[in-house]
Amino acid sequence: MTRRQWTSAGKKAGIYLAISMITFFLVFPFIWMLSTSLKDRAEMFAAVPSFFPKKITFDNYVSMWVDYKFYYYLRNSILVSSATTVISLLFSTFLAYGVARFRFRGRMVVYDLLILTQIFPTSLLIITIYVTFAQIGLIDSHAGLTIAYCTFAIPFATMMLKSYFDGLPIELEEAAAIDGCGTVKTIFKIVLPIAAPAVAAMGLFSFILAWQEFMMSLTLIRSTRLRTLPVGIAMMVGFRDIMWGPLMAGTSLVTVPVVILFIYFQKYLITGMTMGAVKG
Amino acid sequence: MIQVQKNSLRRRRNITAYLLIAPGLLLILVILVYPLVRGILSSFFSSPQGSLAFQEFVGIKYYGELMQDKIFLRSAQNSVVWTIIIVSAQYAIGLVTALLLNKNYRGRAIFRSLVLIPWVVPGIAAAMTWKWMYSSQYGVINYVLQSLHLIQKNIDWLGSTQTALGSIIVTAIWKAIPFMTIVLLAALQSIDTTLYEAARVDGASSWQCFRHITFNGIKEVSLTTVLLEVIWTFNQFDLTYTMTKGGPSNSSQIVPVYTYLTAFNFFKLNKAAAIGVLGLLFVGIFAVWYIIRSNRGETI
Repeated sequence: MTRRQWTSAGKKAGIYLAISMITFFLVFPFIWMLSTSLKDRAEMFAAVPSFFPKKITFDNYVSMWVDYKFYYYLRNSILVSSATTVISLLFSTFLAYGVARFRFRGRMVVYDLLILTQIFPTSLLIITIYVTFAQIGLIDSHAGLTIAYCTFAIPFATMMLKSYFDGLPIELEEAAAIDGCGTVKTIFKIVLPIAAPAVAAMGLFSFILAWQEFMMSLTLIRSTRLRTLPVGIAMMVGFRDIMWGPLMAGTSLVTVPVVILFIYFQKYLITGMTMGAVKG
Repeated sequence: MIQVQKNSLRRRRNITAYLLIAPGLLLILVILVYPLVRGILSSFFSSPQGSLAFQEFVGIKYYGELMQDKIFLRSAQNSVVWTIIIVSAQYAIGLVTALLLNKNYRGRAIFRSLVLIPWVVPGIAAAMTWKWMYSSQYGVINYVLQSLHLIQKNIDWLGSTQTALGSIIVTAIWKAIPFMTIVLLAALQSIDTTLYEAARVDGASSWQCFRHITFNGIKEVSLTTVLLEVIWTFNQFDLTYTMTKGGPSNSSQIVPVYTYLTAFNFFKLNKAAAIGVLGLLFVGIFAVWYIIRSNRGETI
């Protein structure tokens, strides 16, 4: 090899080494969580920890499911996240379509408000939300939690859908209007099918937002049976001895579905979620 | 006649628009805007226990109290350190990662997917996993550091006032890197590569190429993302709350967690609102800047 090829090979090795180290740092905790959840007690607390479990056991998952009542949490999380997805998609589609296609008074104000809400601190909002929800009886109810989640999902989803709608040709909708199609019918029959990728991405965004949310759920839900997964997991800590095995099993239960969904829909999600920032 | 028809048509279109935006807008006004305004107002009033009813106007009484409150001052200081360290580290590591992923080599797509994992891991899961890794007796971090002879005996990372804040900061950086990486990667990929060829022909050095082409190409995106991250990082609640609750003895206390604890553990709602407002003021500077920038880019 010539000197030039040598330096090029050296450079390549350097790149591989650097990216491998960063990737290892970023991926290791995830692997460690899964690995711990599949170990038996002896191996979990061994003096020399093993990277992968030598003997795979599902005891931790059984314990998490049976002893810690995760079937409640899982059911509640699926319920609240699904409801949030459907309702927030419906509301943000209407909102985005209204802002994208109509020139009404106060349009800029609405748009600015959407951006502004992205930076409201939840820890300040939660105080009033809690007191208000307590007054109108929305504490300890999945409906109340869903309403709160929808509101947090709508601004971002609306901005993303609006910029997608802006890029769609208006001719089809005009043709539909001439044929006597009402606005709502036009949205469902014409706009939504064309905007399917953006709508799917925002649906997924809303689902994940509700699925992993912690503070609202902690505050607005009081009874154990109504808790969602993140709070259920947090409640396992706080006793004197933390049961790390079942805890890591519960943590895996909340993480793995999101990671799978994400890898599957990666392309849509990344474009959707980074668009706002990159556009700036 | 035509004018009248046109006007009524426009009015009908306006009504349709308002009907479309009404449900979403109503939710935002009731659950985001009203609580913010009410929260700010409550910080100037006293209220009966467990309510936010305006009982008596007390002016800046709570703010005055906070200036004497050692825990608040500690949390404010921690929050500034927290935000600066996390966002700088996130930017530095995120940029290096993005540059590495922007090169051409085999397996790049796999690295790109793997690198995103911390971003997708729910906050609570990240907190619990790192808590386990930091564990004083069986934690893998203590094991590795001891094997490398970097520490003599196990450290109680989250249980010691010396290390708690730093340990959570490491977790927060880990969680924050992927977002910065993909945003910067997207920006890097939009740079016109012929610029580099032209610069090479003109005899530019690698460093000059980086400074004038690469960095110039990602400058705008960087500033917007950093502003956004400053706001998000300052408001980060889940990690600290679930890993230490600000402890031990408030050594890792930060503003959002102290706001929450004051409201829901000490039941001082008005004082909590005042803490929240002070946090909002800090973030507000960056928020206004961010909004001005995003309006400029938006062709509405």
